[in-house]
Amino acid sequence: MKKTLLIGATIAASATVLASCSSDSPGEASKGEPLTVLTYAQNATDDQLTMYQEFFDGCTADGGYAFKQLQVPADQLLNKAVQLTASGDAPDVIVADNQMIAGLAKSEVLTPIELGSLDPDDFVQGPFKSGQYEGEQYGLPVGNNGEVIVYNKQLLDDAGLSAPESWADLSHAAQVLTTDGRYGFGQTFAAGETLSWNYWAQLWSAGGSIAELDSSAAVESAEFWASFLVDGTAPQASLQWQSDNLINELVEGRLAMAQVGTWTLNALLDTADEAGIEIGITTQVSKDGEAPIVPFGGEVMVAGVGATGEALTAVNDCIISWSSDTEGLAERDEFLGYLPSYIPAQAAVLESAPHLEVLAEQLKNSRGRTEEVGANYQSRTVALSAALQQIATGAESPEDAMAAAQSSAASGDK
Amino acid sequence: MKRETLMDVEAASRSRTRAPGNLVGARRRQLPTRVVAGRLVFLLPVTVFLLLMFAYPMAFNFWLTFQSYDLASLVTGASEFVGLDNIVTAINDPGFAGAAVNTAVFTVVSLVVQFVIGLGLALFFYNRFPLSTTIRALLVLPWLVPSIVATTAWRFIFQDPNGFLNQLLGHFGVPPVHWLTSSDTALLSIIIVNIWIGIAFNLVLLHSGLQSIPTERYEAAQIDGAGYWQRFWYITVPALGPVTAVLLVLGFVYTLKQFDLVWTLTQGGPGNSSQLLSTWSYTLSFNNNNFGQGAAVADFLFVASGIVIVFYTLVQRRQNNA
Repeated sequence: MKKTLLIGATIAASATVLASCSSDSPGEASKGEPLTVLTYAQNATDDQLTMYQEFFDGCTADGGYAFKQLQVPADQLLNKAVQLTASGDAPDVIVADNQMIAGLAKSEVLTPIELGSLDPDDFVQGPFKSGQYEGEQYGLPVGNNGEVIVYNKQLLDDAGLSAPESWADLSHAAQVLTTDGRYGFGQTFAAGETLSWNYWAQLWSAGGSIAELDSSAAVESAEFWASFLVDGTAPQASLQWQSDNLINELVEGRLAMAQVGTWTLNALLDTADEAGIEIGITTQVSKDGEAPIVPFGGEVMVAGVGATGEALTAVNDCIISWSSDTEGLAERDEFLGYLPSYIPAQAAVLESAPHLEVLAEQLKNSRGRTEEVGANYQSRTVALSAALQQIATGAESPEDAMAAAQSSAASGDK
Repeated sequence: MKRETLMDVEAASRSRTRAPGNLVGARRRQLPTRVVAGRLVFLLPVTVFLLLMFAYPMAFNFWLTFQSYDLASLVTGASEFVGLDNIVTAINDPGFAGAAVNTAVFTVVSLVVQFVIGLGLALFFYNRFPLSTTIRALLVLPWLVPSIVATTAWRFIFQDPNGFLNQLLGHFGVPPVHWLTSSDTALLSIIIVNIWIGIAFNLVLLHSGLQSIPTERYEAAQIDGAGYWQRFWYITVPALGPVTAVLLVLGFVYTLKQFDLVWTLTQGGPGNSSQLLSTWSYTLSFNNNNFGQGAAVADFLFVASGIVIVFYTLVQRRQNNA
């Protein structure tokens, strides 16, 4: 409730700012009206707002521009950015989830930026490319998170198992570790983005593409990813679970292994430690056990069409300085629970957050979710997560479910 | 409409025995321009309200159905006329048929069961007994509680595997049911919650309907030797006719557009097994940003509601005129 009020107040305040800047005449002592930053509200902490504000206050020390934040729920950011632009209040900076960039760029909400002194090779390539659309660079990554497999070390040791790497490993371990009152493997199976992005890594490892959900690789990997629910080695309740539920079950001893978001690792390691459970962390699996190609989470800071001329220069400077100020980047990403995509800043974060080592390893081989289908991504994630649930509950055969998903997703293509 | 005008004209001619031949002229003289203008002024607020709140959104939705409107269109304002493309694509989508069948099942089963249970409870509370008013008030609670609150509570009740309901069933040796997480029971679960909410509405209207039946009829029937069921079939049921019609029509429209309940409980899942046309339309519009297809699905809901309401209005007019 308090959070809602705060967010509401923020939006109201920002709206007032927007209203006042459209009526004020420019040319004040400082650069006139403040630039708008559209950020996402996470259910984490309100400090995030402060962190971003401090960054923007400092990023154009000599530019003389002030920044005001407009915070909206993360999943509504794409639509909000488009709406604001449509009504003439285009944001100057947008901090959006990387899978939204293609949609934003296609909707003509973004302005290309210059990389300046930054070297593209200093970035983790997948996240770096997530700031691009059709050859233009619109922004740079804020930092990344992702999903990794966590497991109860003791249980795997007792069963003589090592950390799973291939599909066969994971299925076998899940079978062995499932007992009365305990499931072998848990993953998020609630419909939505988390379900689909967990699956993409399996799809890619089988050689498939998001563009073809009815390919044999897609059917095969969907069948694998749903098999735990079909075989009863994953709880059916996971059809409504997110990572938070999974780490609880793991700590309670009702789950031996789980694929969870790296944002839950801190909490998992703390509570597991209290419960006397030793947790192992490993990468996501792949079909043959080779290093998996994974999608990644995390925002991209992009320039909006609101910024032109000098204001665009100021915005560009800020986007560059997010990464080029390496020390500050390490601090800010650590605060967000992210691993920097700018490699020179990674070491500092990994030193204080060693549980992100696996993520760092995994990200070397990463691919953006919109690389294959661009702005048509949204309808794919909806169709795919429905299909995976259908396979998991036995409502449809893998072939039929994936064929329907492809036809449903393709009907939304533009 | 036509019939009323004719009747008015007849009435007018009857009241003026020496009316001139030209009836229309007679009516004109009865209503000076000032009076007509006055009447129009009174109509103005409701007309503006209807245009703004009903006509505009509906017309916009209808327009969207035939346009290639996407996120970019919001910014550029540009979209093309695409004819029936959106409707054809929406119908051919594998999700549509399932959602349509689910909506039909959801609506019919909810309506029938709500009505039967509501009627049973109304008859039960017809006789006053200690605490009857209090209990009746409590039964209305589900209808008064905000839907999000009620459905969140139901989420806990249905929780897999050891929510309240499963624990309760466990005492009778029933193994845990995956209420919201199985494609076999998800639709059933949302129907149960919808019935739970709807019973109160049926109870209130039917109870007041029962109060309005004169007790003399029952007394007379009893003297004539009619048993309980005979009195029920020959007095109660016919007398409740108009209330029943209102209930079914309103219930139909409420149920058809039910959204938040499904969204909170299952979001149409797992795997579209509890997807309704309303949630499907929302998903198309706001998850996929396919506004045209979302609008096309919404049109089907408009048409279905429209048919029922027109049918109801016709039946009611016939009853009034009879």
